[in-house]
Amino acid sequence: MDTTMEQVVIQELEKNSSIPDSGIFASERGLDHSVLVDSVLKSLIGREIVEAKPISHEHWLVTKEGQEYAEIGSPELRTFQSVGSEGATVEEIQSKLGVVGKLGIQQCLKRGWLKLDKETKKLFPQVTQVIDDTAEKLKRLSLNPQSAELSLQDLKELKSRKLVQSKTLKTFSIQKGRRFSQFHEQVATDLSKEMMESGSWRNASFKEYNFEASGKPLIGGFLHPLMKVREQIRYIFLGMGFEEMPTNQYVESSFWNFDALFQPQQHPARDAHDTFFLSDPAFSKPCKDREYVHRVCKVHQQGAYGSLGYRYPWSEMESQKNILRTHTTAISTKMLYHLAQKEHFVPKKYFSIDRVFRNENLDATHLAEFHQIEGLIADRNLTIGDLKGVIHYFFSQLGMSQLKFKPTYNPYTEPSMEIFAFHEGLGKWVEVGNSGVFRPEMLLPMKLPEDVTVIAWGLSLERPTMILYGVRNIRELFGHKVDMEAIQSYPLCRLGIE
Amino acid sequence: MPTVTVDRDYLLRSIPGIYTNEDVENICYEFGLEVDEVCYETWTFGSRARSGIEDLLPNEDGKEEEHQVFKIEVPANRTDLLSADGIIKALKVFRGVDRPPEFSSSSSNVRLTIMPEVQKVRKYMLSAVIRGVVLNRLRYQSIIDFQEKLHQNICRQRSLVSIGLHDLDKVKAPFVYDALRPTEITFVPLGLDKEFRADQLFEYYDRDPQLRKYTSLIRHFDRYPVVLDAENRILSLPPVINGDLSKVTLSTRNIFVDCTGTDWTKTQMVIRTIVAIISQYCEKPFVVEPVTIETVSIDQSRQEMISPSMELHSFKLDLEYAQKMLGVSLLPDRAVELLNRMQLFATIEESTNSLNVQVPIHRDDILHTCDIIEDLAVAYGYDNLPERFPCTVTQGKLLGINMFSDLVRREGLAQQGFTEVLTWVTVSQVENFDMMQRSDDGSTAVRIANPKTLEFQSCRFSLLPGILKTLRENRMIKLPIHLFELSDTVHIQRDHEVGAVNRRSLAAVYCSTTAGFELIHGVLEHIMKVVGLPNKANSKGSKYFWLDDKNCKDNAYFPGRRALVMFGEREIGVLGWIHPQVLQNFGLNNPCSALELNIDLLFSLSNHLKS
Repeated sequence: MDTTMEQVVIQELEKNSSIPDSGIFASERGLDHSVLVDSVLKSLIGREIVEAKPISHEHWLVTKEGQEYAEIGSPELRTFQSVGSEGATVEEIQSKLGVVGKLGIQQCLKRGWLKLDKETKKLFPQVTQVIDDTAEKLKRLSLNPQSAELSLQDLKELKSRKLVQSKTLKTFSIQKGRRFSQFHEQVATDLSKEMMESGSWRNASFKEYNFEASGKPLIGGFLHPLMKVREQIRYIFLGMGFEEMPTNQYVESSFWNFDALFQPQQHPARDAHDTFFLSDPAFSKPCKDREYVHRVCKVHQQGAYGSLGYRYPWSEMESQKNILRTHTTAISTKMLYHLAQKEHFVPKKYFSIDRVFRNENLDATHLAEFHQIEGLIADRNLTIGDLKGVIHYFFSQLGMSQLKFKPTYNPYTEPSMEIFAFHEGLGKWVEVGNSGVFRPEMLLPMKLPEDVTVIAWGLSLERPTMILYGVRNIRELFGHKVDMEAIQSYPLCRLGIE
Repeated sequence: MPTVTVDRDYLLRSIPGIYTNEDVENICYEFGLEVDEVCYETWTFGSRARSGIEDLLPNEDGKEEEHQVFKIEVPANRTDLLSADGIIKALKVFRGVDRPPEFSSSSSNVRLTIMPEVQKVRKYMLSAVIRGVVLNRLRYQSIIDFQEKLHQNICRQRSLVSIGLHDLDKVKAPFVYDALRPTEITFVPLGLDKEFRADQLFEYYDRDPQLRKYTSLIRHFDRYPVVLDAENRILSLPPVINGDLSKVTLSTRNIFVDCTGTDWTKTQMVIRTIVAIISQYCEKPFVVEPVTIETVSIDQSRQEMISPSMELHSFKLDLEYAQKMLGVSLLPDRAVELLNRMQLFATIEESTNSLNVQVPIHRDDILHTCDIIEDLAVAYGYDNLPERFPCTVTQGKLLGINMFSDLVRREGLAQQGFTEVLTWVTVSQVENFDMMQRSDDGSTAVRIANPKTLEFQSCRFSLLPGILKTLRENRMIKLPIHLFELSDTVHIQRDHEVGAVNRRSLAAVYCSTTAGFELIHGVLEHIMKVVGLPNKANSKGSKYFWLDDKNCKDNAYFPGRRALVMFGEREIGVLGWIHPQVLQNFGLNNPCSALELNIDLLFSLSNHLKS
């Protein structure tokens, strides 16, 4: 912005309250009109300091030929001057002056400066002195292109001789604007360090802010939505007095994943269809507690602890087959086993949220790996009512307080209950988890006291996350096909915030 | 879980007080079944190998009728509910409009001998006779479906048990279960119109994807099992196909059941369930005629038994224990009534405040009193059981490594402008090694034996392939990109109990128009500052972290712009430009730098330093 030029305009307006024509104003002050318009007027208009109305002008430009005549004389003058009192023929003039001579002869004849003598075929001067008005007019025009001092007749003639061209020029008439009085205040878009230091912010006025416009996007980091939901659910468990289990062990033996849970070796879940078996390392070492292995074997093979057992030949080799764990209950089972080895039983509440693996076909709601949320309580005197109660509290923290329970079958829990919640959005009951009381055939071989009951429930982390963030396709949430831009736009997870 | 098809009209007609689909859904829900869908289906009378029942043609006009059916999901342990009639019976008893079935046996007339030779191939055979059955199309269909469901589920595709049904009046007792050489077996198989020799038949079945699965169960033996009648005619070639001779038709009145198997318990369970279901179609329902089975051992010793065993398992249910589990008080009479509704009989033993519970032959799912308690709870209604919050007092606690990981994720990365991704543990072998220019020494990556697709061939030991794939899938987003993942990788560790362990790992990747080594170096320094591990300038002792470019041989990174991250003498990670060839292998055009760190080590080092 040209501040001095701006000052000139403002001073003029303060003195005379208007500038009738910016073109005249510029030429009077020796300013470049185009600079005046582009870098001063536009800004002043934008700030509503001034108002401007456009004026159109016809504007004359002297052509290159015209400029030449203005400087060294018009053809008619040069022709007249070349003819002496003895006269000259057309050919003599033309050979001397060329095209200029030809043009000059026409003009001299027209103006009556020369006359052709028919007998001698010579041109003779008719006047003694001439005034080169053509050059004079051109000179004046080049100094003042809008000059209205020339008659329309003159301009037409010069134009027909291609000595001038017409062009439209836009200038402005300038008045004070709505905010003219604010010109002297500092109008700033932002508060600056200089303003702070100089104190000019006190008198400064700021450009009006467009509150409809978007803010500037941040460049920052974002946490993954599944991890955000996991964090809140961990807080919920923590608040309920649960202890997190060390579930960082994906490779598991079939023994801890199935056999120890009283899941028979011919169970369909142990099929290659459902479970990832490993080719390396294919087998785990035999469980070190041989007596425990024998008790597990016996309860499968012959029955024990009041159970008929599954009555099939139990194979330890089969139990040593390594897999990617199909549930975190493999870890819960180990935790319970270790608990049972303690001298005195201590009640425990355990939880975990970690990955589990299924050899499934992938679709919009199924992946080969997902996060299982699991909670369990081991104590004396626990009833199904306790299981219902703890589940109810937990799910109410997840925003699902209307629950019902359906009988179901899990190999290692009895009774088993499927958890259904009423989904307000869908207007129907949806399955949200599974639960049950661990079977005595699972707990007693560990040597947990007979009167200890273990109640447990589980659900996936993906399901509530998908509902929470409205994700339709699980692959857009978990795995490499994730939508990065979506990750950066999910809101806070407010689970457990009352 | 298996799904059973039940005709809608038939179901509604059979259970009083059930009028609408919603009624059906509700009673199923209470009982623990789930109506998967309600749909229209045409009757399927196609040939079912080994159903032992002749093909039924559609109506005379040749058109297949449509009827509305429920697809009902059944718990995997309830074999009796794999039959539509089994479901209807159970629901009727559950509603209290029917009594639980009381099974009885008549005297045995039919004998079967099991020869020594067959015991090396398919050891067990159990059998039964059901007399006076009255079949109609619906029952017929129900039996075919039931048999098929048994084969698919408890019989494990006939590998454990297979079932054949025969028209007893078309063959002549006594029967023999023996094994013969394939060339000695010639018969007209069910569904075919000419005689085949067993070896030719198996070749013929090679073209049949269904039956091929079953021939492979016995093909490797030099003798195949057969059931023969008194005139040496072949009733069946288990577990593959029945003979056409003894096929069951709508007019069949007396059925001979053959159950052959490799698992004794399952064979017993199957024959008991089969007779329980089919005997309800008898003029005198629930009466079973046992077969006398003589087993000739290899040493020629003989042993006789009656099949099926109609013996009932009984359990003593301590009512106090039951009440403790349910959290409600139950009078003995009420408990008996509730158990009856689950098809269990019980008598009260007042002196011990307990019930003597008898489990009928088709409820082999009951193994323990806890199963009976579940039945009590179901009959009482799960939703009617009182609720309370458990009074168990414990301290809440989060796992150290998880809390540490969360702090690093948040303060080390997300707050520094990195966005978290979460990729899969399973990757392809090529992504793990070749594409990363890392070589497989056979002791690095855990390998999966049975992946359905290449994506699940092995477990990642580095988070980089997953992140590079994420970049590939998000090529359209604006540069620069800052990504990280902090989760577990899996590593072979031979001396561990299972031979492999998880490692908490971090990978951070910067991707832009230039590789920006300095930036990723800055991330490392920041993380070290966050976890409190000093660099050389700040270290008072000899332990500080430094970059070792001399010994870094990781070809996933570019030589000259790669280094091991060391702490003292311990290697804790690696960083550098990702090798342009690696980037190209993943279809990426923009340069990237990456940092990988062992968070488990970082955790223990920082713990150590703290103390």
